[in-house]
Amino acid sequence: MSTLPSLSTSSRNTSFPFPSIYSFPPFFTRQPNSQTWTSQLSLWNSLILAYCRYNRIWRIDLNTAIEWDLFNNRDINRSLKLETCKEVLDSMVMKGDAEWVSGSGSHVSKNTSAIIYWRRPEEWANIIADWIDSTGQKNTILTLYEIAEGDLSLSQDFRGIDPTILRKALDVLIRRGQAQIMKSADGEEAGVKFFGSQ
Amino acid sequence: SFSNAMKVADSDGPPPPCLTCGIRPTVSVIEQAKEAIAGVNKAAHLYSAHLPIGGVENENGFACPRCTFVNHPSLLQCEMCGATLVSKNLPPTLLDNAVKDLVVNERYSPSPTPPGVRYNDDDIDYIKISFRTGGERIFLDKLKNVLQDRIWERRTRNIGTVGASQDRRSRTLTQRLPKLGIHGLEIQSVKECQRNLELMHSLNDLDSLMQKAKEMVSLAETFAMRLSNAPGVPEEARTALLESSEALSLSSPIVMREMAGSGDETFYAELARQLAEFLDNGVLVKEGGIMTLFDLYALYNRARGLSLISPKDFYRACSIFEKLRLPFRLRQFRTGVVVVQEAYYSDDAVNSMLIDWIKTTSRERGISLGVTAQDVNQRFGWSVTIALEELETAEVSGNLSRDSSVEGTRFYENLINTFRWNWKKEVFQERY
Repeated sequence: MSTLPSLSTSSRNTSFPFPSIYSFPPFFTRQPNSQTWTSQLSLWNSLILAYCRYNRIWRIDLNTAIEWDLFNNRDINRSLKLETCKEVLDSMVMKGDAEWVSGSGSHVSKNTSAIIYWRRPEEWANIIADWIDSTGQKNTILTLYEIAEGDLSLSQDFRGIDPTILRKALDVLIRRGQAQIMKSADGEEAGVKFFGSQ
Repeated sequence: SFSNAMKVADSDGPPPPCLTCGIRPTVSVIEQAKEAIAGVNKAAHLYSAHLPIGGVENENGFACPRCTFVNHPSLLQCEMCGATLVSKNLPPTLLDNAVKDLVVNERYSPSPTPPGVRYNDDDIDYIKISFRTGGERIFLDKLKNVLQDRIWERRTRNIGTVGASQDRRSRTLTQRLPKLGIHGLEIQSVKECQRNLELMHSLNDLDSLMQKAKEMVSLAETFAMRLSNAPGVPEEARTALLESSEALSLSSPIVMREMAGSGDETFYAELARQLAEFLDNGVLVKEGGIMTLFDLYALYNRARGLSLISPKDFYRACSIFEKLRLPFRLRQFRTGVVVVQEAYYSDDAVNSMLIDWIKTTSRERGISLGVTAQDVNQRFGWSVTIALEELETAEVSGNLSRDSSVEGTRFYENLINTFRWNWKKEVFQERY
């Protein structure tokens, strides 16, 4: 727990309760000491996950996200540099907390966009399975859109989930034998059928 | 065979004086001499004893009439004493003139100096007088008397005009002075002596200058002392004076390689000791106990004044501080910067002092401030280079973290390492 005196919360975009380290200027400078850098990386990792979960952000595009208050503390006039941002995301990818999304067609925009796993696909799989259970939708076929945007998922954590993440979560369930992808006549993935957990 | 010899013996008047010793022989002496040398080469012996010109002939050459050195026949001047030699092969007419010239003036006792040659008094520093048949004691007594009475002073007054004309004559003759042979060498060495004397005089001037410089330094020091004690003196004047007296000199004599004659080791040891003394005289305290090697080198060389030392010697002297148990030591930062610091403080002690200070100030001034190298410079007196090195050392040990921005680099207590944040619990109230 921190004993820092001031807790700055920049409420420009969100009311996200930033931790006090967010007001510590060295936090925005890449530390040359490797041990300190490791700690700094893990703090940024946590901060990004918390921020994205709080604001229900599934993807980060660095070209725009670099302007967010997440990476800019205007109270102390400090911001994280883009290359440091990339290093942070790289380390998140290594840990499995994020995944780079290859840019749409162009080589230049490589590694600027990333999926943030503030819940891992396994967690999402559990949550979806629980939701299916509790809403009695076993053995029914749901479209992917229905899971993310349907009336029944309105209050759910995975409301508006990124299709890529949802697909990965479903893959976990399929591997467990709890779900099955249904294909339409022309080979398109049309929906998913859930089975009860054994 | 020599006409002159016969003349002497046969002449009716008083015989001419001996040209070697200047004494006029009586007829009886000549007769005795004649008898003594009967049967031997008569002419040669007579010649040697009393004849003014020429020299004793033997197979190698002929002897100088003054010093009897046997010269080569073709020489015109004696190789030993520089006297003019008159060969007996001289045509009789010339010879006659030469002898006449010598005998003409009765007032002077003739000398073997060739006729007409007179040395300028200024050119002669000494006269060599040989006594071949005794009489030196009498001469010495007479000389003493003359020197006591200072006869020459009375005499110059009388001869006045004559002296002047003689002077003119002698000046033209000096140019004919022998420049060759041993006599020439002697004259040269005399001149060399004079030149050296002059040089010594001028160097004495330099010495006295140095003497004055030392006095000036001590004067400046007393001024500095007085000023530092006196109230109401502006601070700038005080520091300026202190610096100037520091720049002027060292308190102990400058160590030079030549002084420590017995090898390099002694030289470096002496140099190290003087450096330690120099550092001890407030230099290091002013720099906050640590200073870079180049700062010290510049300061020390300025204090030495003209006799600078090379960086190599300086470094070697500094590197034996610890060996000599002097209270200083060298320390190298990981960036390669070498500093001199007091030996009692370990690197860690110095560093933890810095870290403690940063921790307390950051608590006093608030988290978002931190310190710069300049702040450290003001607090501890270390130069900015050293301050930065110390800060980076603390950073490497994980005690500090840095904040680089357009405003420069500031150093903070390392909260990143110690900060713990359970975001799932704090933000989302989850229990894990």
